[in-house]
Amino acid sequence: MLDPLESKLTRTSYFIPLGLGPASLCASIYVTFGRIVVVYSPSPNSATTTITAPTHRIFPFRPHIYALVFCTLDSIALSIQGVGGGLTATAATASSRNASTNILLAGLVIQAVSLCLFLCCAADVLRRVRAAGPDVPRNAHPALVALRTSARWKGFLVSVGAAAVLVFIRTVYRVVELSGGFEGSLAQAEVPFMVLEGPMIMLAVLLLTIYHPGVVYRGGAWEASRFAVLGREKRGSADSAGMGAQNDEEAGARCYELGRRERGSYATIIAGQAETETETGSEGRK
Amino acid sequence: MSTANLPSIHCTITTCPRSDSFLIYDPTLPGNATYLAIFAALLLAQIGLGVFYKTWGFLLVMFAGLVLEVIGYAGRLILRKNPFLIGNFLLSVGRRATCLIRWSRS
Repeated sequence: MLDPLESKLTRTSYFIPLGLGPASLCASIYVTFGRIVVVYSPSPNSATTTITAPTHRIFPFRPHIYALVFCTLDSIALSIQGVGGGLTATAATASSRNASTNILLAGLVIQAVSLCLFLCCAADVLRRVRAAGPDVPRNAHPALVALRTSARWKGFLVSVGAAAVLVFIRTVYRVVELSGGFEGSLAQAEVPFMVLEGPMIMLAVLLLTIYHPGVVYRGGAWEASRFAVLGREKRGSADSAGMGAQNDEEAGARCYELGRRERGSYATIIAGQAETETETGSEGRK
Repeated sequence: MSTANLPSIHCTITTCPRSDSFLIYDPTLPGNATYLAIFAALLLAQIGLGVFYKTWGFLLVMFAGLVLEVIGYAGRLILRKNPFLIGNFLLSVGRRATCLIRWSRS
């Protein structure tokens, strides 16, 4: 005999996670995108800045707005899919299953639309970066300057974009699949599922593993590209080389430490910069 | 659209026809097992990289997504053969996940 609870768990066990997994992965793409915008934005006011930040904006939104909007849309889509998926898996009648499948579908549509919107925003940012000349001031943190000119940077940008496109393809497939209902021919066909669900997500994650943000932003750039998701950036928080650094001196010291740990080609630049800043900082306080 | 009860609570393998079940087809064993293995490998790689480079926010969402993928494909495999194991399986995954989170926090 199949225990009722076990039966529910069995169906839910495969169905809900595979729906929610990619939604969660989207959030990682959105968060990473915020960091990319930071790299191309002018420096926030901080002692580590060498170029004075202009008042005009290069991008329509600040990095934290991108991250906040897309992560919010993503969590809404995720919640609706979770509720719809749960109701679908435990539905007792065909009509209630249809109703809950529609809830699930709504969640998927929100995810697809927000991914589409994200791709538009990413294309817009890319266009603005290309259109802006070399005179436009970018984030002048030494680690980020080194990052922008590094060989891995372009590959990283391409892989983040490709990952978003792959997740988008998968989400569109799920929308088409479920719009025919659970009894639909596409929902009961395994080959499209095994081609368009699994490999798309796999490739997306593989790209984000090869070009892992930690690897790409190594040598202090990850800390330097931090931004406050909620509210305005605190002074130095987006440009300092340390999480929760109390002042620029401390940030400089941490940056120096990071530079010493890193044996990359640009590590000496960071270390040098941090050293001079630590010196000037302490002199200023004397 | 039929108004017949769907096999949720009162159904067993012996009392309900296969066409009433969630999936009409049996998920393929080699395919789903391969996907499971790949996602598990990606999960391990992401945990390793995330912990080493301390990219906590990125790791959190990536970890959640990949664990869900792994559970999903494992669920498809279990759905295929032995439905009775799922409770224990979810428990063990839950335990493992809790361990990892604690380990990464420390």
